[in-house]
Amino acid sequence: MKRFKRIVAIFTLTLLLISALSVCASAEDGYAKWFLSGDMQTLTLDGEKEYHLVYGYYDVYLYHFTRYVYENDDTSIGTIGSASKDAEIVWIEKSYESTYYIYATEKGQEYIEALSESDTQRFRLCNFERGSTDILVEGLIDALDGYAGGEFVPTMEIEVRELASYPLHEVIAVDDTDTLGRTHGAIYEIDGKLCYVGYDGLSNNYFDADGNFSYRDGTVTLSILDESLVSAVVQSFDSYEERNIKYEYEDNVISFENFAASEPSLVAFWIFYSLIAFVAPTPLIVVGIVLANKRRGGAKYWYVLSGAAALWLVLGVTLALMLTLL
Amino acid sequence: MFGRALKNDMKAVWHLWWIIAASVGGLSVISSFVLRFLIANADKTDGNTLLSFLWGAALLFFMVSVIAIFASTIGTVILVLMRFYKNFFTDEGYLTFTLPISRAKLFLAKIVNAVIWEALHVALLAVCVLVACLLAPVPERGSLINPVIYTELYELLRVIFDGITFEAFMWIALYVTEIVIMIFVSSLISICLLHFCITVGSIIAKKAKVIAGIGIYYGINLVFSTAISIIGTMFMLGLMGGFIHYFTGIASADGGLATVAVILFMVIAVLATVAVALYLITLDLIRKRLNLN
Repeated sequence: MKRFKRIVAIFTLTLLLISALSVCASAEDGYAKWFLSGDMQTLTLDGEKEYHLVYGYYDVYLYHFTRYVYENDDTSIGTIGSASKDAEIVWIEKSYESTYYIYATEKGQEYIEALSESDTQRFRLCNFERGSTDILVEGLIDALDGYAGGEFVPTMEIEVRELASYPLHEVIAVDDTDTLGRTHGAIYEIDGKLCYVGYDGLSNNYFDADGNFSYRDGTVTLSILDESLVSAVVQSFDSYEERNIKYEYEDNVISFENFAASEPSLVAFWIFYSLIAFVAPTPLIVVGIVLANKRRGGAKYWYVLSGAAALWLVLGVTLALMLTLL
Repeated sequence: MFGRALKNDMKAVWHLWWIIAASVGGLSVISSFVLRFLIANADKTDGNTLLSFLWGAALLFFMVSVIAIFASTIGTVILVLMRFYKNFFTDEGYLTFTLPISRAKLFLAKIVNAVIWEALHVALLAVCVLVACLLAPVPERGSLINPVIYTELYELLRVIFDGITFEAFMWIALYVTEIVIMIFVSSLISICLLHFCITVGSIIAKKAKVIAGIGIYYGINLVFSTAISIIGTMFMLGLMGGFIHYFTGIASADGGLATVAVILFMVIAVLATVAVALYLITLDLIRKRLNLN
């Protein structure tokens, strides 16, 4: 009987130790640790840098010409991307959704606001076949916008449906981190001439519900660029290069450790779960066996209690394994 | 001997239970016709004072009938517990414990008796609802009944199960079975708790043992509900976030379905353990502490 009690005591202590170990689980060192709050409003990097979910800014798009990507094993969360290594603006791309979730620090928020209010000084040219340029020739956009508003500038009026067939170079205003952009205007190559239209000067009729220039119906007036502007634009064309490069750190994909909806709740979850699934049934198993041995007559009924509690424990272990392994 | 003890218990409860059953059955038939009257005349009461008065009275009668029908469950519980109390804790107990059957089997017969009568009462209520569904809808001219509810239900089930795969059907069947078992075990806990409270009341109190038992029952319920609301809320907050996190991370649909099934089994195991513990504690009290002097 003494030996039996010793075995039961060791068994109970082992279970208590296992449940205590769940509290001590810690992440592997050396990887970036991202934390996403349960309400998806706050994203934190290494417990220090805080990004908040950005709302609004309908006409601001994600223009990730360069991507630094943090992969994640948990496909329900998605991947985190940024245009630079220590970005003020990052985005989460979910596997099964077409929506990007933009997160920004306070500084990043200022960049976004400046972009939305057309208060940015950084521009790109973007062509579907040729890629995008780095920063354009200095002062080119101001010159183009100033030229388009001029009094004796040659112009041409064209049906937008016909315009859709000509090569297009979009002028993208980007934020200071090169993450987000909005379309500022467009340069078309029409019959050997370069023609410019600035979008800020156009009414809403020219755009579709998503804020993109609409080629469905109507006419638009383009400014035909003179020699000096053509050569400046062509100079920018020469610096086109492929973009959409994806960088991965240290030749390996960094997997998230603790990239969870809320890490503290997982610790609390395992504490509570261990109490319910492992600790609670154990004394009932012990009591059932002890009383079954101690009492004369009707002992078998107490084995039923031990059996039910043992089934409880086994199912608790099974459920824990299923939650963690599946 | 166990079978005989159970048979005697059932006969003792039947003596009065058939009156409850007949009353409930009769009341359900009458209230079904009252409901038919209410449905048929719902839009005819404007401008007709007599009809409005009759309609209002019929509505009141119908509501009271429904409450009475469902409250009749208390009658069955009282009959079962009175049988237990009289047979164990009054002068009749002297005779009971001289029978050539162990106290454990006697008590088990009481529990089984309670389970059977509760199940029969639930079946009675189900029959009342089925009868109401048949009699209450206003029939077509020349007909006595209108089975529209049954035809609509059949159509609904047909639409739901049309095209369902065998695998999906098996999962549904498994979940329904688990839920039925869970309801059964929950009612078993309730029965064992009532017997426990009557036993403790009879052991502790020298007079008014039944009232003591009822007081202990309400006291335990109060303590339980307070503890569950405080501790249960903490546990739920701690567990819910984690379950959602792991659940949403399960890759396959089958994995998710299997996890839900295991959760339900675990809940059944927990409830069964509580029921067994209550049963054994009560049995222990009856065997060791009961003094009929």
